[in-house]
Amino acid sequence: MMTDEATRRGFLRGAGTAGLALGLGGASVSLGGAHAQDREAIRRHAIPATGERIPAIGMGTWITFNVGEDAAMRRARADVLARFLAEGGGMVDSSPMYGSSEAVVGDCLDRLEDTGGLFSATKVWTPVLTSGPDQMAESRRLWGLDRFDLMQVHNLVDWEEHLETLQQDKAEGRVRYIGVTTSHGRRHGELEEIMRGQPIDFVQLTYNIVDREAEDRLLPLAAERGIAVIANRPYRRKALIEAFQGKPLPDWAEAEAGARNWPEFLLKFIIGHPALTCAIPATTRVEHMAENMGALHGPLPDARTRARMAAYVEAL
Amino acid sequence: MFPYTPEVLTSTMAAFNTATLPLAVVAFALMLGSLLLAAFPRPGSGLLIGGILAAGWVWTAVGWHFGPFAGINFAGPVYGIFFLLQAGLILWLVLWRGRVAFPRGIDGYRAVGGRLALLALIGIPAITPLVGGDVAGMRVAGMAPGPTAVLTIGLLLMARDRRGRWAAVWLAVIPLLWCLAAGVTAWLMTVPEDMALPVLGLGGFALLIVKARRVERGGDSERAAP
Repeated sequence: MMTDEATRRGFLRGAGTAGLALGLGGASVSLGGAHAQDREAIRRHAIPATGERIPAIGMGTWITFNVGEDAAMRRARADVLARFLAEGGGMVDSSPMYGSSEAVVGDCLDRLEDTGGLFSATKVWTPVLTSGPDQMAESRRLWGLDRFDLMQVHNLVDWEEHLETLQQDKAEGRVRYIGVTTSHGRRHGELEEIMRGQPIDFVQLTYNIVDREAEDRLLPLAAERGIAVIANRPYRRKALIEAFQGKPLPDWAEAEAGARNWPEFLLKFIIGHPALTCAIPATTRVEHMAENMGALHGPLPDARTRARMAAYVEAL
Repeated sequence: MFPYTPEVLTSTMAAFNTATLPLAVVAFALMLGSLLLAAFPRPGSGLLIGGILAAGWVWTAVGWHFGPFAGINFAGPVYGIFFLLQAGLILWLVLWRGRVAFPRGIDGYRAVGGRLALLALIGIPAITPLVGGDVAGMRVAGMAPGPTAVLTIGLLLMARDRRGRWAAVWLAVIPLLWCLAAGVTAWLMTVPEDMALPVLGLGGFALLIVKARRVERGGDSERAAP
C-alpha cells in the first residue's frame, strides 16, 4: 500500500536534485549545487545485472540507527543520513532484525526535504512465525517507500522460500533487485551454491582488509556470474579503526591508494577489488560519515597496491 | 553482537518509565511492601508476596520485553515468554499450591535474602544516576528485569518451603538464568546496572541450594544459617 509520504518521497526522488535543502531538528541546511556537482564526480560502480551505477560507498544501520524512540538520537541520525546523501551516498542498508533501525531510517528520511540518490536496501528475516510478505510490507511502511531498490534474504534464513517470493516481487515491480546476505564469514559454502544456482542480482558478505576469505571463491564467482557484491563489516564494526587509528599510514597511501586517512585506506582497499560494488560502513557521527564518504573521491588502488596495503596492515 | 548500545538501552528504559508513570512508583511501593511482608510476616503474607511478585514478572514481560525492549531487540519477546513462565510458576507454587511461606524471626538465609532484596530495590536503581545516566532510566524492580530477578531470589531466601524442600530453588531458576544472561550482556556491552547480576544471582541460588540440602538432611532451615 502506498502512503502519502511514500508518494511524496517517490516524487522527490524522481524529480532529481538541483540542490539539497535539509530540514534537521527544526533547522534547515542548504547544501547547494556544489554537492550536486560532487555527485557526478564520485566513484560509482555498476550493478552487473543492469549496468546501473551506484555510489561505491553506502551506509549500514546495524546498531547505529537502532535508537528506539529517543528524539535527540533520532535527530543526530538524521544529520548523519543528511550528510551521507549530501556527499553523494546512495545505498542505505537495514533489516527488520536491527530493532528500530528501519523505523528510524524512515523517520530520518521524513525529516529530509530531498532524498534524491537514495538506494534503499533492506532484508527479509523470518526466524519464527513471521510471514515474509507481511514483513516486507511492514518494511515499506516503516521506510515510507512504495518499493525497495534491493530486497535481500537475511543470513540465508529460509532462503528457498523467500527467493521465490522475491522473484515474484521483482517481476511485479515491488522491488528492483534481489539478493542474499551473510556476515562474519558464515555459511560461505551455501552462499556459493546459491550464487551458482539462483538468479540473484546482489550478494552481501563480510569483506575487509583482514577478513579476506571471500577473495578465494566468492568474489571471482560473483564476477563470473554477474552478481553485484556488497561488503559488510568493512571496519569489523569499529575494531579495525580502533586498532590502526594511532598508527601511521604508509607514506605511499595517498599517492598510490588515494587514501588520506585510515577510513579511506580501509574502504578503498575494499572497493578497489574489481568484483566489489559497494561497501557499507556504519556510523553515528557526522564527521565519521564525512571521512567514510571521502573514499568516493580520488584514485583507487590497483591489485598490486591492494596487496601492498594488506601486507602493511598485517605487519602492524 | 547486540543490536543496541547501552545508551539506547537506558534511553529506552527512561522512555518506558516516563510513559508509564506513575507505575514505576507503584511498582517500587509494591515491591518494597513485599520485602516488608517477608521481613515482618502476617497471616497470608505468602499469598500477598506471591501475587505481587507474579504481577511484577507479568508486567516486566508484557510492559518491557514485549513492549519497548522488543523495539530495540528482536529477542525481547523470547525473554518475555520466560518471564511469563516465571509468573505462572509463582502463581502455581506460591498462590495455588501454597508451597512457600514466610517465617517469623531471623536467620542467616533471611538476612542475606533481605539484603539481596534491598540491593534490588535500592542498590541497582541507584547505579544509573551514579554512573551519570538519566534518573528516569533507573531500573526499578517490577518494571525492569534485573532487579525483579534479584528481588525474587532475595525473597525466596527469606521464605520457607511448607511441604517439599525444593520449591524455592525451582522458583529461582529463571531469575538465575536472567541474571546470567543479562550479566554476560552487561560485561560485553558495559552496562553497569547489570554487571553484578551474575554474582548476585549465583550467590543467592547457591544459598538456596545449600538451604534446601540442609533441610533435606533433616536440619531446620530456621537454624541452618550459612
